[in-house]
Amino acid sequence: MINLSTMPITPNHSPFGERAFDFQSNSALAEVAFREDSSTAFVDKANYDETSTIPKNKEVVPPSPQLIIDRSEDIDATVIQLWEGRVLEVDIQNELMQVLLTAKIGQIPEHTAEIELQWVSEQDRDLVAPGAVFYLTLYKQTRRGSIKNSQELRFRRRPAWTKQQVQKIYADADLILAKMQSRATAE
Amino acid sequence: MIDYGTAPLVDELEITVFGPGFGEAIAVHVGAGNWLLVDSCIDPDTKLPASHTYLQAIGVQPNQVKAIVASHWHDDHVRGISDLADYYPDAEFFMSAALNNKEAAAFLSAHNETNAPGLSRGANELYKAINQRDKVFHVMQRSSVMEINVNGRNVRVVALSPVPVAFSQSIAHFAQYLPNKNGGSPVNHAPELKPNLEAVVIHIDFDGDAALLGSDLEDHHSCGWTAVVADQWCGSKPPGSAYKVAHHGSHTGEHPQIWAKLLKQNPTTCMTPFNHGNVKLPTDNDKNRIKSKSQYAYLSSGATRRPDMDSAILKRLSDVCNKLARVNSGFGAVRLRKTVGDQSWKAELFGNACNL
Amino acid sequence: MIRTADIFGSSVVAVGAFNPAIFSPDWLERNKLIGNEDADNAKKAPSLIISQQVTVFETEWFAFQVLKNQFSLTSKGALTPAFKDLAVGILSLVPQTPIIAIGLNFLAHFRLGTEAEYHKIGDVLAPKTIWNSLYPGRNAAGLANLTIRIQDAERGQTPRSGNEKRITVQPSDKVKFGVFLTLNDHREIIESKETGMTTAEQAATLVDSEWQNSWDDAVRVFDSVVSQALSAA
Repeated sequence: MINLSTMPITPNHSPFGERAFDFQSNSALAEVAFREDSSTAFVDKANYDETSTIPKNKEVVPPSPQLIIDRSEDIDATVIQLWEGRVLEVDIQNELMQVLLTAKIGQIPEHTAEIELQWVSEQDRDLVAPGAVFYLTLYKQTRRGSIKNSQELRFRRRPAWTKQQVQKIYADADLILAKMQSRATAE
Repeated sequence: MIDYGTAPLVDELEITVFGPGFGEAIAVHVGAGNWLLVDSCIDPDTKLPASHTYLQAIGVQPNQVKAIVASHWHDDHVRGISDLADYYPDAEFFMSAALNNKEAAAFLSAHNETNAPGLSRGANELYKAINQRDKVFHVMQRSSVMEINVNGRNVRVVALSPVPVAFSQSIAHFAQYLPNKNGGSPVNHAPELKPNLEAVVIHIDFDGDAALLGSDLEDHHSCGWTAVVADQWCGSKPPGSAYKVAHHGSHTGEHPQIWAKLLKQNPTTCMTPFNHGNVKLPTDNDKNRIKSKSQYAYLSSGATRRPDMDSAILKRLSDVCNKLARVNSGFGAVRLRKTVGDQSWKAELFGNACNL
Repeated sequence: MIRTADIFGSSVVAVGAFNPAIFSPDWLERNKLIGNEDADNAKKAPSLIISQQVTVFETEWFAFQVLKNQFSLTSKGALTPAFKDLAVGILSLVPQTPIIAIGLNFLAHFRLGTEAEYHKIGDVLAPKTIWNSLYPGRNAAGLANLTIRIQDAERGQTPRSGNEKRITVQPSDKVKFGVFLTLNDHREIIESKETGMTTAEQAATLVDSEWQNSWDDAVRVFDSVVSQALSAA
């Protein structure tokens, strides 16, 4: 039976206490990830419907080595402000780009700015071109109890067009063209 | 909210130009309650198309709008134009004939908000507008946009551009940003075409007076303004006493023969600013040039571009960004009204509009 | 003014039938959904597993897990719309994969001002009178987990769709005197001949168009729950 839940398994979603990547190497035990290891609560299947993350039947599974991921280095963060940016111009020589920034939180009007290309990660450099879209995030990060402000600039990556999408686009284009009509020439 | 007062009188001509620092829209009253709208931008107070906000404010009914022209597909000229098309379903919808080809149609389809969110807002607006209609009209030099008899006056609105020679440039541009027919590579950017040789310049013959709306047309040795001013038919049109200056007053939208052949001496001029990245139009030189050729010259907005956000956020953003500036330097409208036969246009300035 | 969380993240969960083995870092890089640095980091990470039954890997900014019947993409660090683009991109690459539901999930940890406020949240959302009466004396009942399900129906009526929202509230184990909230925006995906789209294509379109709305809704809901609980009499 498929577990229809679309709730994630994330840290601090107890009562399971299970973390997404405390994953057992025996793939058959993957579903044990949904199982409680630390809680001793009784699961009464009658009280849970199919969309619950709590399984209806307990299963006995043989012990297996556990793959434990150390989460102490994880960075938790919260976004303070987020902009969707568009590159207007790129000045390769001076390593600069002119950008248009549209805030995604609150009522901040659009702004233009200049950003040095050093803020763009190496893996995103080939995405920098006029018209390209990026996200500029200002955030507060918490790591091992201490807090600091930080920022991130990440370029948007859209998936490649599929053949079906392209077929639809050109079919759509035919419909658009069919609506276009000329006007008489004026005297 | 701006108080725009009342609608023009039946025999009063009107040209109203709206513009924040990024955006342009024009509303034209040709007489007897008949309106033409050219391009669209957003009123920051109502968040609706500025022309629509204006027409509602002065009590114009939807069926009085006879035509809507999208002079080109750039974002700053078509924001909200699909909404305008929706608000005024009886108005005929016009766009540049440079879009009447497979490549442009595919570009509009590929870059609508569903297929490519955020990549080309202009393309999305036109795509939406076309989808709302059973038909739209493409216009080029010599196309008739509107012919209407207004209390005995024959008003003729025609397009002076684009010229067919400019189309190949557009087609090549659009083709560059289309997906491969077999799928494959992602399209991650779709910049606007420069220079703009595909924009629709509008000439309005009020039958006793005339006006020229220059859109964003730029110059080029065989396309653009050179092709317009060299054309005998264009030159035969009555010279305009009012001019919406092309391309935000920039020298790339300038041609001396515009003033010599298409306009009366010392016309009344108005324009919208353009603030985008390093580009800030009109420059001081542009202003001086235009003022020297105009009786009166107006700008739809001249307010400050100082950054507008919480100071703590601004401080943090300044770690990453230099030369932060607000795009929209306020919002304003320049309204020109006259009765046919009057000596000059009466100008009213709303919001952040000012003398040039 | 909307309350800002101390920690905020998201995950996109899809229920369907997947082939975990194809969803490798190389596959994402080849399809240009992640850069080479992210792909390299994922391949070097100790969490990497790629098999017919399960694929797991992570980078600096996301963690990815695919089982045969579920796919889960979880944000790490600062949330960015690039995370949504990645989810859309992955779903777009597997248009023939049958998908029956999508979960747009958001989570937040809020630090409260005082221990008293921390207890007040629990006391307002789950009044303790009944629970404390069960074991009077030295035992104190406390809220461990509360889940509210909001269906697409008026009470007692048949739901109009399988779409629903689930909001959970728990004490935070990351933030002292903090509360942890999650919003699961569950959407069912139904095969539709009218649209001509496969369920995976529908899922991709849904994530693309609705993720930001769900984020905004989560911010509103979390703020409302905490604020109303704190201001209750």
